Amino acid sequence: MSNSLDTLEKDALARIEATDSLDALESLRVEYTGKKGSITAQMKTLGQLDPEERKTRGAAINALKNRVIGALKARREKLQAEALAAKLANESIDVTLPGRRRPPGAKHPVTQITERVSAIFQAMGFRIAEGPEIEDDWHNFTALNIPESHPARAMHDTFYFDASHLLRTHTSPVQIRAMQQEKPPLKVIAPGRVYRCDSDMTHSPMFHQIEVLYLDENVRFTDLRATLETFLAALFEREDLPIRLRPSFFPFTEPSAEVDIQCVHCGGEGCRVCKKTGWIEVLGAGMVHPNVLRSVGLDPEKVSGFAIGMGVERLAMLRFGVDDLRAFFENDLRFLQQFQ
Amino acid sequence: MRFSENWLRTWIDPQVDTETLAHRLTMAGLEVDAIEPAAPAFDNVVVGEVKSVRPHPDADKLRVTEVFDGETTWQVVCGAPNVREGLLAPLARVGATLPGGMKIKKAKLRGEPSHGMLCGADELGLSSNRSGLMELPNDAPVGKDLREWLDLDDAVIELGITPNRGDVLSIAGLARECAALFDAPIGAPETRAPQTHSASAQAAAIEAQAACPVYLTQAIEDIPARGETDLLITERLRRAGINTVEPIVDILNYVMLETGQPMHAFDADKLDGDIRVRWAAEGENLAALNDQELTLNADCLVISDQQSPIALAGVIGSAPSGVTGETRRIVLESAHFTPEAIAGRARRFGLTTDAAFRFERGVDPSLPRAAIDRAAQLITEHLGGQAGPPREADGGAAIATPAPISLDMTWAINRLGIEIATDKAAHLLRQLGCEVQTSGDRLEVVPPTRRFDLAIPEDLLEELARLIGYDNFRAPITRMTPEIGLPAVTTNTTAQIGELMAERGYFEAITYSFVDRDLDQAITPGSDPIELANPIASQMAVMRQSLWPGLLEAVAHNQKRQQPAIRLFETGHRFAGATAADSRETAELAFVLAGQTGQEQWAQANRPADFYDIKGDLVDLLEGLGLASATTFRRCEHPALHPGQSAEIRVNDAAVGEIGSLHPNTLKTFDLKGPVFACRLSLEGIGTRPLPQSRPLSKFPQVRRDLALVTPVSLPFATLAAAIRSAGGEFLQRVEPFDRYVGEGVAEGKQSLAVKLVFQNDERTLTDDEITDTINHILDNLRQLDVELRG
Repeated sequence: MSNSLDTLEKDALARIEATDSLDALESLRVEYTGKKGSITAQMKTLGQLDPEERKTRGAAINALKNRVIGALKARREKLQAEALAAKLANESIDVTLPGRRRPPGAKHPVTQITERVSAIFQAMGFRIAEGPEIEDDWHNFTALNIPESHPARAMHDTFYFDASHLLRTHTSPVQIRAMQQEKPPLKVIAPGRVYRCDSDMTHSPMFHQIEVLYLDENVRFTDLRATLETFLAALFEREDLPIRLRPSFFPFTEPSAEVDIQCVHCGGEGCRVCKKTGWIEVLGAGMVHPNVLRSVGLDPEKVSGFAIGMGVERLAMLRFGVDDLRAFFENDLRFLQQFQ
Repeated sequence: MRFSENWLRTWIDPQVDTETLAHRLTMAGLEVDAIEPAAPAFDNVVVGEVKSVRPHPDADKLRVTEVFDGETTWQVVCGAPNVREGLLAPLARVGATLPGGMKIKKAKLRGEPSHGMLCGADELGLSSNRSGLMELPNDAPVGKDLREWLDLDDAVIELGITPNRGDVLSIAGLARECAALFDAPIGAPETRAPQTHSASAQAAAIEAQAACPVYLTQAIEDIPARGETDLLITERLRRAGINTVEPIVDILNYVMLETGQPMHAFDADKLDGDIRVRWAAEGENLAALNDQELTLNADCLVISDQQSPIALAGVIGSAPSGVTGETRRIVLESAHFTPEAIAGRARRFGLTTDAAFRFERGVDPSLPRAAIDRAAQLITEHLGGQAGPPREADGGAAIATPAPISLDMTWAINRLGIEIATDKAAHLLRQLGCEVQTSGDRLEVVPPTRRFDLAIPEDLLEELARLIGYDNFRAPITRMTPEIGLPAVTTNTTAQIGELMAERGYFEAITYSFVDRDLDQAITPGSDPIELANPIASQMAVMRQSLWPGLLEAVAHNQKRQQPAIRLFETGHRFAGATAADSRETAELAFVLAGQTGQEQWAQANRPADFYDIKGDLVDLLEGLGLASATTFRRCEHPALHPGQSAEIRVNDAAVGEIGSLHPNTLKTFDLKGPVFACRLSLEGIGTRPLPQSRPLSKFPQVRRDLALVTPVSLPFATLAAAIRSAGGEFLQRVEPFDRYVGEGVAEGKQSLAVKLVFQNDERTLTDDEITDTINHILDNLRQLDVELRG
């Protein structure tokens, strides 16, 4: 009899092991451990045996049953794991294919520079001021100490509408408007479009400037330099960026300076960008001319200040390595996409 | 301004090299734009003397010459037409290197040996003209190294002189500047006024004293026929970028470069009577030396004889009265014209002359006498002739002494930010030629007559700072009032708008503020744009009344470059009003959409963009600006837009812009492939947002009901939604369409519209009965709009 149990077990375990589907495994479970299963049938024969033998054989059959159940469970888990693995394998995708996108656009590089410069000055307490682009002669020239016959007017190739109205040639008239609107202390930054009647490789009839004005009591020439150092180091993200101030001439400032930074490409060694000088001119600045203060009714004895003016395209060309001014105004998407 | 470094060094010779000299000039405000060698590199070229010339036996155009190099006579084959016996010309000896690196070797030219090469000025890089051999003067030292003799180891320094510094537009002026910078003395060349040899004088009268306080004439007679200008003068002029013209004119140019005084010479035989300095009559003509016919205005100062103007004062002379090679008697003019009398006149006639350039900036009024003496000296020494005495015109005025400037050094130090000793300040200003009196810490300064730019104490601050060196003015910021430069959080800034547009995939364009009139009118017909008086081109003639023309041109540009999806935005001013005097500038946002909704992509359907794409972008923008819930749309008419696909945008019930599909005519005008969608918004209209205010979250569930409605196609959804809302009671929170169907099964003129309704009561759960009652009420109301529940 025990031989028959051995055979049953061996047979059952072998068949379980050979099963490769969960359905077939379920059939085997019914065949061996179901109500009509062969192990259940063995159990049913126990009643015919004497108590001592029933006990021994019952234990043997139970043990056999547990082993078969264990084998079924193990096989089921294995098959389930294999099935899951197969399912997952089947669901595998090419993760290197591109995803669904809504690519962002970008601000124009000129705007990016304008906003960065504005943010730096805002952090220093300057507020943004605006003015009209169609200006009158007084705000654009006269109030800025550029009288009718001044040779500096020749430097501004001006677009005119009539004898007294023009497209502003610089953002400096916003200085005048700010001073007319508000009493010192005054800290304003005025970015915007400006216009000159000139168009070639290096001149655009429209370009952008940023004007900075600080007026207070006892503002000094050294304050201008300190402000420029702070600003330029922040803009070019170089601590202790060397700068130099050269005497220059603007009718609306005295003293006036052109401001160079050490060439950010070669670190002052001399290269193509800085024309081998080691320096790059980035802006103009100076102490507000007393005639400008007087033109808006301020007393130069009581108030002093500095003004800074910069060309945004020039800064954008330096920062982003753009070498053709005209690219800024062609609005070619292939260009604009480079500034994301 | 260009000048020869060696010429300057004959006046003042600071013990520094060229680079250092240039650096110091730059840092003093005379910006060095370029430093170039006076001549390209070459060597072993000497003054050669042509001893004999014979024809080449085998070449018509070549000659065989014997040339003496100071030691030896060489046979040299030469092709230049002007080679002749006795000529002195540069000889490149065997072993010489010419510009460009060419080595001179022993050679045979068509069988004749040639030991060296006779050179033209162009071959030595001294002229761009090919005109045969360079003819050296008869007194040139035969055998002398040419570089040494012509002083060619010299630098040409080019300065960018600012308009305030007319006083440095000469060797004398630069020398004075160097004297101050290097604290060194000047050794000016000696001027020996010529002994008067004739009594001849030219009478002149000033009739415009304020414009011309000084007018000197000097007659020089019996000037012999002239050859070439002295090589030293030619070379210095060349290095200054001035072409030689005629020996008398060349000498006057030379004196101008040396002293800063522009001068003029008239042919005395062509003058009719006395000279007058007067204002022109309006419409008077002058045939200028450059062959230009000038029609003068009443504010033009002229020099005239008894007949007609002979010069536009300080700008250009007339051709008939000008000096030519035949001129034997001249009248020199050396005058002071004030900057006000000259400024802008040359520009008005499209002229740029060295004289006008200087007079506009201011020439030292005390200079005319010294300059006329110098010119007469050089003319009589170099060219011969009998000089008469210099004569002052009648009606002149004494030169005004510049007003003294009082400089308070305490104030100066406070403005500049560093200590400057009073003595030092006085010394520096004296170096510039100022007369300085000191009393305590106050300086009384009388600037020299040549410094038109020194009038107020601030001008002296700049001079002090310049001489001390701007880079020495370093100090921490003394004080800066603490202020916050940030805008209010409820301000919708242009920067935020740009960020939101970029997030939606739009690229920022910057287009010109002036546009083509026709393109402007295509968008804004019936409203006259503001017109530029001097546009640079007709496509840039009027100020834009809308940002669309520029953006649409940019769309066309990109469509021509095969861009499949174009999204562009711009912010900037539009200009309204009939004239510049009453212009109104308003800031606007505009954006355009054309092409596909996205990229061609394997996992996503790509389709042509339509109205609802740009509208979605707009509403997303407004959502980001906190304004979406305040925004409504209504159908509108816009001349540039499709009549059935255009809407007015209203924020808080005020019109702030338009959105729509471009009208086919607009597409045609801009040469666009449609459809193209455009939107514009007034930045003022979307400039502020409410500050968000929180409210408690409901603890009770939302109830959603979907209605399948059949509505007239002509019924705007906004009207339907408003009717649903008004009947839906206070708990109806959202009304959103989620499906729309037109076609089979739906009657003509109708559409099937599925609408989602969301109800919520913040205080209790809504019952089914309540909702059903509300829905029924809504449906009852909708019947008035011819809307039925779908059967």
